[in-house]
Amino acid sequence: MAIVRALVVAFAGVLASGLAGCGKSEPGRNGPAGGYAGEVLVYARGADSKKLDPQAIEDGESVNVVTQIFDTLVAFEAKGTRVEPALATSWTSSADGKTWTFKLRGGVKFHDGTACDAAAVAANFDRYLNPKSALRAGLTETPYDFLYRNISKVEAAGADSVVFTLTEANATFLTNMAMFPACISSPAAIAKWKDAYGQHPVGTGPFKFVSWEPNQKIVLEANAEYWGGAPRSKKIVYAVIAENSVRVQRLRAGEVHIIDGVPPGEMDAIKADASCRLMVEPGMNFSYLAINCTKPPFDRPEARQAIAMAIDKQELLKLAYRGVGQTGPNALPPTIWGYNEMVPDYLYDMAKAKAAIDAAGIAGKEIDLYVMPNPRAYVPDPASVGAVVKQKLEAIGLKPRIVSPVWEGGVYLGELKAGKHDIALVGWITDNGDPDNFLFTLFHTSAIPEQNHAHWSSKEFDALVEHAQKEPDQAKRAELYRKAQEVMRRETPVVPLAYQPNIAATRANVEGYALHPMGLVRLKDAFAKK
Amino acid sequence: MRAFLIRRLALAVPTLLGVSFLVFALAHVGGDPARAIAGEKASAETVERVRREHGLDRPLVVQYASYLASVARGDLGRSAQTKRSVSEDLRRHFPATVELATAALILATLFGIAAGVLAALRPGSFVDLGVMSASLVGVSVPVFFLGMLLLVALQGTLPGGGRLDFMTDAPPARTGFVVLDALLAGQGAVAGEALAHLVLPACALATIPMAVIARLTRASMLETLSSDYVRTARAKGLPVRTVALRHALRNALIPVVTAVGLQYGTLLSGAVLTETVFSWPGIGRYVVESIKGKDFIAMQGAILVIATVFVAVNIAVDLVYGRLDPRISHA
Repeated sequence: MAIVRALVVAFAGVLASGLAGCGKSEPGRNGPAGGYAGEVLVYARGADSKKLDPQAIEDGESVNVVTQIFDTLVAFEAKGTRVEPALATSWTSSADGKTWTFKLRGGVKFHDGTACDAAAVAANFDRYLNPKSALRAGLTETPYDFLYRNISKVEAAGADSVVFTLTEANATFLTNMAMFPACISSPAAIAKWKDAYGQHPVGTGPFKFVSWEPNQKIVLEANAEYWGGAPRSKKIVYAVIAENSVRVQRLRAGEVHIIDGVPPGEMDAIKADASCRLMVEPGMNFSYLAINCTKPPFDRPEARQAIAMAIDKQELLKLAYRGVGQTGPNALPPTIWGYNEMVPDYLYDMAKAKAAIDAAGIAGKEIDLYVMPNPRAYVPDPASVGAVVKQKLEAIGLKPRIVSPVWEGGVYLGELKAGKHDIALVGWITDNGDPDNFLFTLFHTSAIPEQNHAHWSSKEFDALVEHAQKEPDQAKRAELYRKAQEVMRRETPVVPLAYQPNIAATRANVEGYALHPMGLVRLKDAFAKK
Repeated sequence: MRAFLIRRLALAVPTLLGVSFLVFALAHVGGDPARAIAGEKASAETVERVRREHGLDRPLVVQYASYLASVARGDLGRSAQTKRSVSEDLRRHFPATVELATAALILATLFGIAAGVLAALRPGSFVDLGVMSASLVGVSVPVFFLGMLLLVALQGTLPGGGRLDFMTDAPPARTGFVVLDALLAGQGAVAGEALAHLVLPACALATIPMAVIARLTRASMLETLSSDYVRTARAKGLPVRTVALRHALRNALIPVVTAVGLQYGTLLSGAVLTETVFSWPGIGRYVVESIKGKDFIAMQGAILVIATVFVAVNIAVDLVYGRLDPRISHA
């Protein structure tokens, strides 16, 4: 009865007030002088974020939102992987590379009004690396902590300096400090929300968290007092539109401003639509065939090289990647410094590949070709890649069987870790833009069985990438990585297939938005022109 | 009637227990929940820590018993992936499905019954042929395809998904039904916007039940129209319209009510495809997302709620059926 009465009152209210304008967001108040360049900017993606606690996430949808709410001590530059000041204005390292001191920017406050000082920074790292930390409640999963385990101590030195002590020198320490797990949260907010902090994030970034309607949208509002200057848009709405083609459709209908995950098949339609703009920039990822080096006959380089010669990469790019991206010989993309352009790719030569298979006496051998069942950013159509590779392997006399266990719950990668595959389609997207994040992380002996899906071990290669990890001079590191790529070419534990670009599309009136090669999404300067 | 109700409710308990056991078992087959929670890149050490801290290292029987005990206390747990309360998540997602399913069912029932009656009154005519052909198409066209077709055809005319425009602030949640909440908050424009957002997904979702209802109404009407009491009514000189609508339709609708009830149960179980195409944050998508993320706690909670609703709708249909047809006894 109460509801019926309320409805009657509501209808009367509607009639009295007129129908227009109710519930719409009000234009800017309390904004920067001169107002915001844009009001609401709607960014549509295929899935919702899982949680917005930077230390507990690894999914791109969560990282995307976290990037707007938080800052790190140092940040990746706008167009590359070098780091520049952020919450820290300067930093120094000791001669042995084990002690790093960061000088903090003064006067920065978290969105809840508390100070972002040295004690807050130290508390964040204590929470991340110390399971007994007072702020640890609810933080069980820390998927990226393997990158920070070399930090043995973090201490505040006064209010504006933080000192990090490492167990050993590591050249990637600084770039890791620019990554999302190193974002600085408000300790007061963590203490307040405990295990619900992931739904109530509080940082120092250009946007403040406002609300979250699961599987619908996340709303952020501009932080007008941002130390790096006020954002251009007053409000950001992260919308979820699960289906790729529907997302494109709704961009073209003008319902959203920016979309990611553009399917290659829709690129031409977007290009042809004057109301939209397609953005394609080289990325930092690669897809490859990992050949199981522990399983005969692929324990011999000659057998692995036969696989490399059997793949026509240009044809594969055209058929299975819709001609998008580029191919190359190395196990890291050309956008990463240290890429060795002098390494020649294997020439497509079926006769030679078949002869190698015959000579090895393995013609007719049944092999398991693992192909993931669902698309990944580095391989938009794995089934087509699998079909083309299978056909090539058959042509050289092998009998491949495609195996596609589910990806979710670590099933696919779990079987690769167990070494069940002969050949497997896998890929990698950079975490920190450093060659170490490809060559050491994926192919060092210590990465068996976790990330080293080729189960390949080479003392010569290990020595090179270990040396590079400790060498502070970037030019010297690049030289070491170039040599490491030559070893890989010779040994052929993997066949790199393609490097995929980052693709997004916007409405034509969106300004200030650029794709970052690492796939970072930064919306501080983006706005929809009125 | 009371004995019937008690008997059906007693039967519902083992049914729901069975469902909960099945879902629990499926959640632990094919994949490691601890790995799913810890993350793809997490080290083996982190995965083991997660396994311990989430109690996943206990025997499965113990885990299941502990889950049942929580459910009995009304606690569906916290999502392993998002850390949100599953009950709270379902309170947000389920009303969205109810809103969509109800709109679709109203459309399907009104148009389905009208089409079925029209076809039955002139069997073999062009109208009959048209209704039968359209209903065949209705049950045959995949909802996903139809949804995309509607989106493309009506682009710019009607909103393409979601419960409201992305730029509109949702009204304060009192019932979880956006149209109703907007009206209760005195936001007529928002209510109108929410109704506009309902049109396309409701049309897409209504096609199959509409076709089923039309065919069933036609068949049932034809049977009733050939019965003795209808022939008597006609012989007495009553107009065709009165005979059809006042005498035949009431009886012909008895099997249709069952069909409508069962369709509602199905629609409430989550219209996954429609919810995906139209970005509708309903329970169907919640289940799909939880399965994709191997979020076993969310998945168990959602499926248990769906099963409960399905069982409840079935019992309700049986009760209504008894009311409509005095020949049926629930004694």
